[in-house]
Amino acid sequence: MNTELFRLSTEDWQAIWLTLKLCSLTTLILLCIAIPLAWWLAFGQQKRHSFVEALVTLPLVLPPTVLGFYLLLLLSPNHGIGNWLTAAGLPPLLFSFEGLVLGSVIYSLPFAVQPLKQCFRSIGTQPLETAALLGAKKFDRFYNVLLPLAKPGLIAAASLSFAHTLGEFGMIMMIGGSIAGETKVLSVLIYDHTEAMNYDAAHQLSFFLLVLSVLLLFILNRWQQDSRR
Amino acid sequence: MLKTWPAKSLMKFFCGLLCVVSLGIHAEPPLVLRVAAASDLRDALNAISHEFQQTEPGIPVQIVFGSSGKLSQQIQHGAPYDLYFSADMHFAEQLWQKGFAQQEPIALALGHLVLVTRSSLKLAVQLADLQAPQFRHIAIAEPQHAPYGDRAKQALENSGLWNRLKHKIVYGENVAKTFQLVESGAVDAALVGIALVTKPEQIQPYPVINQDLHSPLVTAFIKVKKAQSSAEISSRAQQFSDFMRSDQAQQLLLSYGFTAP
Repeated sequence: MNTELFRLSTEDWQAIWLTLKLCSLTTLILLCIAIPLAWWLAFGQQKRHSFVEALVTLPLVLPPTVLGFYLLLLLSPNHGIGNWLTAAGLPPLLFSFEGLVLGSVIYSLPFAVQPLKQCFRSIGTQPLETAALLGAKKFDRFYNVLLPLAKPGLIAAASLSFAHTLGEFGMIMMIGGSIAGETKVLSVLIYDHTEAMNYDAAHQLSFFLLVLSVLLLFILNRWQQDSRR
Repeated sequence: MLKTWPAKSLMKFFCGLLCVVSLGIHAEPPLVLRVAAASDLRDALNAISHEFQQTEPGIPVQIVFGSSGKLSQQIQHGAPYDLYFSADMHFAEQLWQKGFAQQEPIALALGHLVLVTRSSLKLAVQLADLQAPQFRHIAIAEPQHAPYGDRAKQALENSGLWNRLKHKIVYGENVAKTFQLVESGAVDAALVGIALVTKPEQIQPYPVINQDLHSPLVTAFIKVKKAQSSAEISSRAQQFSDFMRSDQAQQLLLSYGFTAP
């Protein structure tokens, strides 16, 4: 990478790399969780479905500070999960990259589940039933029937999760601690630059993020339109 | 519906994927000395850390700045910092008493409050000047977790101005953020730490608030007790803490407007 070109420092590149890593990982994990979950929600009509649906939609409504606060308590070595992790000799999740991944997965969950759910509903169960009648095996049905049909939904889910994680700030501030190379993602670094009054650096990074976001959303939109045709 | 759902193969597929992913992200922790510091120390501590790494090369030093209260809270929740610099003895003392420090806090220097005016306005010489109508907004740091904010509020209260100025006050998240508010012209005046406006070999132009108006701002530091820490990092932390007490570091602190404790 040519650092001279954009006059970005190594710290900036580190944050860019970290942000992209966080977004990609979160998106990947979210797709793994969201596909089965969205399917289950799409065709379920019982009380428990509504309850899970409400839980999944929560991050859309709650301020990131509420989520950050509960994660802080939950993962803190003094209570709950954090306590078990320490007892098991595992590294703490708070103020670590892994912790951010966990937080982002929860935070962006509705953005992966909702589009997929709508998509599965519009596909319905018929194509899979037909495939089953024609003798397609389980994996075959999933891989060769469902996934291709759900492509627009998958693209929407992936792009929205990625974009939403890119714009994450409040929760990361609460559970991240702004540690370079570990939890200092772009949004936090920009905040740091403004605080240190490095306005030039803040401008460059903000502009970089702006261009990246527009480009990303534009490409994905085109792609989605293509796959609808 | 359930019959068509390839649940088992799906589970295998995704479990496999998750395993690959989690293996991928688990990397060795890098060898750095992590320092958490009050945000008024930004320039001074960066300069000292630079000096330190020049004279005693070794494991690199990484500094995170924030309000003393916020950083202390993070340490109590297990944040991986090796050293903690507070703008106020109180927060360092509290960590020591709660068992998060390796030894008693060490007092480094005395900080001061200065009254900064937006560059296009006539300089406010004393706190009472802030009552003038051209001062529409006055910034102080959040008193709950930023020591400079707490002392700014105290100073205004003790000079009998708090109730008259209360409606003009806006709060910055920490003292560096507060200074940024006045520097960018978003507010007309601010009460901030002297180290933020002082550069070595330059006289800072703003009036210093009388020490008698607030309780002292003793900058102190501790070595944080960590659950998992390598011997290399803790000896580096000791090295840095020794360097902090050297004449060289003390001189640098004085050049940023601090005085001896």
